[in-house]
Amino acid sequence: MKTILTILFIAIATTTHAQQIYSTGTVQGVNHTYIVKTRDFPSNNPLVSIANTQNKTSGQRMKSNRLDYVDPVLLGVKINNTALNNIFKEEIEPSVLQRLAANPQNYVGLIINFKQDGSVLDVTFSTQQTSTITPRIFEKIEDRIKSEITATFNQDKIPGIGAPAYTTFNFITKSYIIYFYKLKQVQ
Amino acid sequence: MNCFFKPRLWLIVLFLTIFSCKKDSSTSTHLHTDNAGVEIRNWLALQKDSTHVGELTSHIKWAEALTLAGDSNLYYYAVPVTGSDENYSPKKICRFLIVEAQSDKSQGYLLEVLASAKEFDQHKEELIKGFANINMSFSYEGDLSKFTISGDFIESTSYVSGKLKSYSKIYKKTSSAPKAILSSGKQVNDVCTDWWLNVNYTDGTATSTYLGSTCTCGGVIASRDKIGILSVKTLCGGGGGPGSPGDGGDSPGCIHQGSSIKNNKLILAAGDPCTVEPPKVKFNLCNGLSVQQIADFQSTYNYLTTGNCLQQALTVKIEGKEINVCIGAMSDPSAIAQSTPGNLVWNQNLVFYAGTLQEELFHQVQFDYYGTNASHANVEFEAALLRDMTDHAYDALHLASSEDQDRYRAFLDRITANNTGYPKTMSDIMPTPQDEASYFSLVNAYNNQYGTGSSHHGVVDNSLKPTALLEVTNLSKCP
Ligand SMILES: [Zn+2]
Repeated sequence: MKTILTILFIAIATTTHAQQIYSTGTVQGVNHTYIVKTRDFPSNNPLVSIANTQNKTSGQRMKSNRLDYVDPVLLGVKINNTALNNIFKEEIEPSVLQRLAANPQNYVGLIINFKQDGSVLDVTFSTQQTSTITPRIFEKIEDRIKSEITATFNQDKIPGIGAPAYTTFNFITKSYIIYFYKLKQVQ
Repeated sequence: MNCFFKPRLWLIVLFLTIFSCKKDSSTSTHLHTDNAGVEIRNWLALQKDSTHVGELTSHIKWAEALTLAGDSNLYYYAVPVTGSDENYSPKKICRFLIVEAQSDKSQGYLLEVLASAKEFDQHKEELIKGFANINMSFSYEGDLSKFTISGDFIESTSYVSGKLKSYSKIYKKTSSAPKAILSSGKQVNDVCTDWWLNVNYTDGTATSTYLGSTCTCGGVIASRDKIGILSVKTLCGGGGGPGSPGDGGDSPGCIHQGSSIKNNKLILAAGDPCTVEPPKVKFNLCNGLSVQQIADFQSTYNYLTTGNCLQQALTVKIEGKEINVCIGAMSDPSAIAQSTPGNLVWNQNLVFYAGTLQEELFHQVQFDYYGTNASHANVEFEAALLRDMTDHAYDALHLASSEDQDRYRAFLDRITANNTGYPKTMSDIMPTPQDEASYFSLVNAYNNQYGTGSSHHGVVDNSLKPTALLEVTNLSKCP
């Protein structure tokens, strides 16, 4: 079934002159290998997730050893959105960026898992199966996110625990999205 | 010509009548040191308002400066400020310039103490330190009011039988460019600030009093009447102009009429006769809320009323409701708040977060549509969805798998057209049976990210659609 799907996607992608096609399996960057998983949604423009095989949190969920529930405001994850957007703007070559921006549906979703000190632990990308962003570009973006992006958290102490919420979690997740047409607007 | 009608003018009467206080005859044990005088002088030297600093300094009784210790290394440096007497028999008003210092931070203000001579003489220190105390150690009847050194009202507390009775603070709302009609008949665009005095009583009632408006309109002083129509009262100019004492209502300077009297005491003189307009949502604040909590709640709610289109729509949606707001312990100590119809209990150890207050107020709307027995998973997911739509965030499924987070992002972006609009009908959210199924699969994913013991976990109801959410988006001015 997967093979049939892959063939189908190749066929579709070929007819739309997409340069890069992602399908289930692995792809190579320069130094790292990435696991690609296909999604069956959205139905009109399905996604793939792309994650470094060395990700430490793959398959794991964010979990607290003290809290059954946490209001997002108590985690209060804050990052510098402009810095993150700029990494994409700088690493994707202008002609590719321009083509991506032409369709408002084109985006890269990010799930960034942070350590408690605010540094980046892992990044998982998701994007259209027909995305023209190469694994090497994703690798460069990932490297820069890891070295340039840090998070801050809500420091309010949780009653009954006496420590801020984020300190009770194995890692802290931020879900973020980059729309290329919006990137273009702010250029 | 600049003719702002500054709020401080309302206080001119108060500011001009500076009071003398009977010399302290008590035998209390406050620390008499030279330090207080030095600390206060140092603080005054940093203030930019040299006119008022100068005026104030000439009325300070430096010889009576005192240092009082508060909690957690907080020090009150206080010095009496004298002047002509103000008679509110059997009460009197005493004024102090107070500088509160804690580690390297300090803030100063004028404190007016309305008290009887006996109360004042016997409990001076407690009154100086007592602003915002819920209970005084004695049967105090009176007011404590804070002003800036320029005479602007900051906040006040009122006590009956030694218990905190009410807390007052002024809020302003700036309105966008209404039309003013000048006496010449000419229309000009105007920007006005409406000033309101909110008083929250600890017995559960609250009032919001319109004090007047200050407008700038090309050299014209205008004030707005109670139904919101601007009428120009007088031309600004000549005479004393703004800020000069005793303008009253007659001078060609700024209009100064109307007042609010409480406990025989003029609280404010406003630019327009005070007009009481009942608050649109009646929040009954429980006993036990500290003044800081009342102020925190009030400003967080005000933030929502003036926030983005969804936040505003929600506050409109709950108009006419009566909600008890209390502080208490949570069954789950890490929960921020708990809601039942007409009741909101906030975790006593946490501040009022805007996002969470929005969620709790939305639960009140949900009660109207779903009752109280609806699936927690469904209603909490719907509330989280509204918050994410408001904040342009993707937090609802933050503990879920990356695939579920991807799915949620794709769903949220579809129903909001990448955050450019909001769903107004159920078919915007679930146009096809597949979309309906995917909505409920997200509710499932939301539910499964929490442990079975969690307050946000339950049994997903596959027929409970997000009707309440649409009620809010439909009321909104959002696209
Ligand atoms: Zn809730």
